[in-house]
Amino acid sequence: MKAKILLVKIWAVTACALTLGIIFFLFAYVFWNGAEAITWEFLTSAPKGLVIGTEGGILPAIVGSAWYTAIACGFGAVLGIATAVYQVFYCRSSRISSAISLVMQCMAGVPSIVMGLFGYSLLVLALGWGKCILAGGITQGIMILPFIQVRAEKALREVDPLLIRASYSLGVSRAYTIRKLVLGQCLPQLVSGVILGGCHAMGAAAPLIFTGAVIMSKVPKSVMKPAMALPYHLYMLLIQGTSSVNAYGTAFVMMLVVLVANTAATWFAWRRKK
Amino acid sequence: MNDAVLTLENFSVSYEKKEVLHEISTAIRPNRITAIIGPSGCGKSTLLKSINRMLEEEGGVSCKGSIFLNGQDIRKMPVEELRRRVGMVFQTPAPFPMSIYKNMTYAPQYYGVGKKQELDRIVRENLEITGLYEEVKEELGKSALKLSGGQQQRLCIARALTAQPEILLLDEPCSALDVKSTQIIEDLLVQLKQRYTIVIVTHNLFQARRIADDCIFLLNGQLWEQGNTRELFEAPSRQETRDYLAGVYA
Ligand SMILES: Nc1ncnc2c1ncn2[C@@H]1O[C@H](COP(=O)(O)OP(=O)(O)O)[C@@H](O)[C@H]1O
Ligand SMILES: [Mg+2]
Repeated sequence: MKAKILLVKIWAVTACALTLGIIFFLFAYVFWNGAEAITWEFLTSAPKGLVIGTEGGILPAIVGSAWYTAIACGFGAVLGIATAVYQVFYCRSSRISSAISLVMQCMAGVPSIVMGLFGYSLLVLALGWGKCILAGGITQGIMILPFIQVRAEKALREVDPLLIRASYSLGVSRAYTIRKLVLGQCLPQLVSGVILGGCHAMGAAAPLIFTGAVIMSKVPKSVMKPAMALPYHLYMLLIQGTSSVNAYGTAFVMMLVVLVANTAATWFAWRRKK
Repeated sequence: MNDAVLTLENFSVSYEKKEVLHEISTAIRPNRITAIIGPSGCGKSTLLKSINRMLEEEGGVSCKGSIFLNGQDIRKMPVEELRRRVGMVFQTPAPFPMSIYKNMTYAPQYYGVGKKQELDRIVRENLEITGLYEEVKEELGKSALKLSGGQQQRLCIARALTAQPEILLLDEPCSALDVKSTQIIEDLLVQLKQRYTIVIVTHNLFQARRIADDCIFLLNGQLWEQGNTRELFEAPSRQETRDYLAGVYA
């Protein structure tokens, strides 16, 4: 019995150490290799070179990714949080609520390339938007919608039901209760959910391949135009195999953004707990 | 019984399949304190929650019979209007996690009071009624969660009053409080009955005896006996009531 417990303990500790080790190695490796590419010029100029990206920087991709991610976050947050609010505060039937959760789970399982195809056929072709930032951002927004919804639902369900009853007992409406009491209570968790979803969107190239991302563009001026994106640029650099330094540099920028955003999100949620 | 504010007619409640209140008929008179007493699990809270339809917020509940507020069927009223007119205070104090001031302006702002002066007046007057104003007037911006349990419960009563209700429902409001806070709240309720009709659930028979004008004794979901508090306590007409008052069920 004792030996068994010890074995489980060793196994758990090893697995934990291994996981942390892999993550640490990944970050260290990318940062180590990417650091030499990071110059002011790399961050603030457009890609150049005979094969695009071998020289010059990644500014249009940074700005493009910011656009895609912002649209994805906006779209995902509005729909995801609204869905969760409906489930927790308006839906009277637990069966409907479970059905919604099931649909969300299925959505979360859809491969991102399939999301890309969906966005392509609906937004790019059927609606005739063509490849553009809006189409790409919305496709990514659909991808992170279940991600945001799950976290929002959890946060909303954690609000003390006694407080909600107390609010209803004053004769105020559900909408007022949600706005004045509930959102105040779980805003940090909602925001952190959206940020994490945004990180997920920012790193995904697949939904953008058919819907918005291009090999080369200027710094985008309109959401109805296609634009470069960091993950897609990285992908192109890698398959061309000509400039691994710039590829690592691009990866460096992406991972830095993710790291900073995740830290911010965690801090935000943690501050709420205090 | 024409002067009753609340009338229950053959009112029954079931959770899923289990009926927990059986055909309750009674009338609650204005400007009096009515205590609902009975052993735990007999349906006191359920009865109270039926009156402001808070029961609907729980799943799987079905009701039969009717409840009238001043002759109006409560099921035909918009639930928000009903709940404004019938305030509720819960067993555990439930101040909102915001400042004392914001707790007090929460309902008035919903009802359209926007002027600072007007809000200030509502806050002050209702806190004064509950005797809390003198204690907290310097720190209205402080989080309501920092108040003591007794103060929190008085804040909740004051907050309920900001919606200008006609009836106040209280579900064992003192069960989480110490003797002194209980005393303060009992005095407060006695004073409040001049303006409001009060229905209080309590398992504390001494409390019922001290403050209630009328008593309703529930047993196993049935209205077993009711009447004037003094008469009920001194000369209960049924054996089970006598046993309960003598502490057999407690
Ligand atoms: N949400 C619920 N679902 C199912 N049964 C419930 C629920 N709430 C209360 N009951 C049952 O209804 C009966 C009455 O409960 P309650 O009104 O809370 O009694 P009291 O307040 O007198 O202690 C109890 O037997 C309790 O188990
Ligand atoms: Mg109870």
